Amino acid sequence: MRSINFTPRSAKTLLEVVLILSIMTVVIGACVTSLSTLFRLRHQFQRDREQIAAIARVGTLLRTDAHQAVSASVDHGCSLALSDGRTIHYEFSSPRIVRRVERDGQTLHRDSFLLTKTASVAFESDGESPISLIRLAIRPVESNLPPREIPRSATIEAAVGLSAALAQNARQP
Amino acid sequence: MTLLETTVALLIVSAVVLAILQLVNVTANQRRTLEERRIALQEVANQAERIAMLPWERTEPDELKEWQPGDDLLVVTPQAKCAIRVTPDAASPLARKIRLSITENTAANESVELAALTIWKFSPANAP
Repeated sequence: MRSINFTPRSAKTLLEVVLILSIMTVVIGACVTSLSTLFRLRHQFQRDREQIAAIARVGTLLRTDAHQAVSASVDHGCSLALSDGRTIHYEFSSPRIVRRVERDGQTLHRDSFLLTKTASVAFESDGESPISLIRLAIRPVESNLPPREIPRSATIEAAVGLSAALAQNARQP
Repeated sequence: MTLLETTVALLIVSAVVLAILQLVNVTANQRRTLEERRIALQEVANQAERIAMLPWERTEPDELKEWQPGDDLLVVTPQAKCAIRVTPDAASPLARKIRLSITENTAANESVELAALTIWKFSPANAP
């Protein structure tokens, strides 16, 4: 008569399998959430950095141009007339601010500063010539945008004709 | 994979996720501080432009002491204080040193300077 040998084999109960699957689901869920948050933050920081750099650059150029200008008008965008005959135009063409340097109707130079599609730009003027203050205001188009879509707000003020006024002061006896 | 191994893995991953969440929290705080400082710096730069337009007579130490913060600054730091300190500079050429600063009080009632800018205003009498 032949005998049958039963070798013991390890196995998991249904309860163990269910528990392991549940724990793994939690672990994978936490990993996915963390990674998604990190990628979203990275994207947001990159957009912030680009916007801040564009605003800083346009602010520096606007102030330099305004100081050298002899007159300014803010009808359609902002136009600054320089004493050497050049005219510098700033205008908003969503989503960017465009700066054009012109002489006798010919464009000599062109710059572009990228903002977001949800930004609006307004130019205002205070005071009377020869020295006046121009103001560039960058604001969100709507107030109920989700936080990640809200563009950086900025107000940049620049004194028009400051260089000429300083030169005039220096010439006074 | 045994139940023990899975539990240990869960603990390790939980610790990593907690560390990441803390990192995200710190980053968000840093981002808010950076935005406050950017707006504050923008505010002092704007004020410097306004002061540059003023005639010499209106930049006396008694005339310039503080200014009202702009809307952008009030949104990010409603408690911000904007101060101006004018120091006469007796050395030649005759000038005034004007220091613009924006401070805010922290929860611990400490005054923190968000941004500061120093400009000089020269007297027209310096002209030859």
